[in-house]
Amino acid sequence: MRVAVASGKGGTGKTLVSTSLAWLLARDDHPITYVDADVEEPNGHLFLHPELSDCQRYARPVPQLMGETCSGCGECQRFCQFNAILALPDRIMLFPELCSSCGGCVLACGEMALGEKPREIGSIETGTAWTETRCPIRFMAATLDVGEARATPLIGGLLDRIEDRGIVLIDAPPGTSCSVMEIVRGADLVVLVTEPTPFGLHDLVLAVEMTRALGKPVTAVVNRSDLGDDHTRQYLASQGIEMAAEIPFRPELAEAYAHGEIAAAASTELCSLLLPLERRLVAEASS
Amino acid sequence: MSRIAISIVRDDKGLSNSMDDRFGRAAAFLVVDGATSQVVETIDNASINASHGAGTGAANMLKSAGVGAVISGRFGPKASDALRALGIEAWVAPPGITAGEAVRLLRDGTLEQM
Repeated sequence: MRVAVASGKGGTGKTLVSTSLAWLLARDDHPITYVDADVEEPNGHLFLHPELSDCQRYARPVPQLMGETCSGCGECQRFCQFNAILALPDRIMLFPELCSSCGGCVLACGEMALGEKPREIGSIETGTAWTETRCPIRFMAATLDVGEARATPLIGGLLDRIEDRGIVLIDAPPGTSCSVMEIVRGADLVVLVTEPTPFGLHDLVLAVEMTRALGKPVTAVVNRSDLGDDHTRQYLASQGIEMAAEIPFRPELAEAYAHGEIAAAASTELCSLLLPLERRLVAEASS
Repeated sequence: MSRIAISIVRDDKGLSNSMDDRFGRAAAFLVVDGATSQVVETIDNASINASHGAGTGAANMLKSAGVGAVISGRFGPKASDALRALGIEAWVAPPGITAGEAVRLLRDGTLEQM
């Protein structure tokens, strides 16, 4: 069972919730994999402190000119929606970092002038986190190379390598872009972490619409639930979205997090607040 | 010089429009005749909301509009490569000026090419 932990707004607590859930499930002897898919700034390792057993470079296909047959006709540029190809009077110029690896330009070329070559864009790591729980947490993460513009293919490569045993918690990037949708479309449940502020609500609405468009069941965790206003809760109620947990602001949670500790390991209150969601995941994973 | 484009923040005040300091993410481009400095047209920047590649998209759009030189505050690395490959001169102007002032600075020879 794959669970995407996503949010609209950044900084709402995706990693706090996903690392805490992973720790709780491991503590209670459930096979669990934590996947850090926030490839532009992965940070799950700061809390889970995994022992890495494997690190592989990841490459995706990008176009390259084959031979001298290109006349600069521009058919490939007209096909490309990502401004990755510029047609010049007598040839084309390629911007492979902008390419989305769809392969369409190769098909669009009537001169057989384009082929594909691999381009390394990041690394995928696997390992194990031993967190004083009886059951270890399997750990996976990917890191996009600095300067690369497209995260989605790397996230796809990371998701392809997941072994679906037990519960797989996927810590998604913020937002509602292609990279988040890549994760959500393969998820069995989406946990949206939000906060009761105007910004939190604004981005939550976008995230809910995205999950609806992809036809995924969604539940919400409201973090720092005693700050801000009531509009986020009213919105969730109006949409019939269950609130899986409300986590009040506690200095000790912020303190543990700042020290690189798993918040649930430092707070029995957080453990009990996340217990209903933990039970739901266990129940759905075994059904 | 054929046509000169200036990146602008909005498109309703002709040469009095403020220059947009960014090339690829400019709201629009004011196109003036290189010989007379008269406004020829304004072109909305179709690439302004592209997640990536706004600079290469804008460069391609200016080429289609027959522009031979463009003035802006900053050009990204890919935009610079694209403009160079397309044979469009890229001139860097100081921030906070109008499109008309940018054209005047280019005429006075005080701007530097990328």
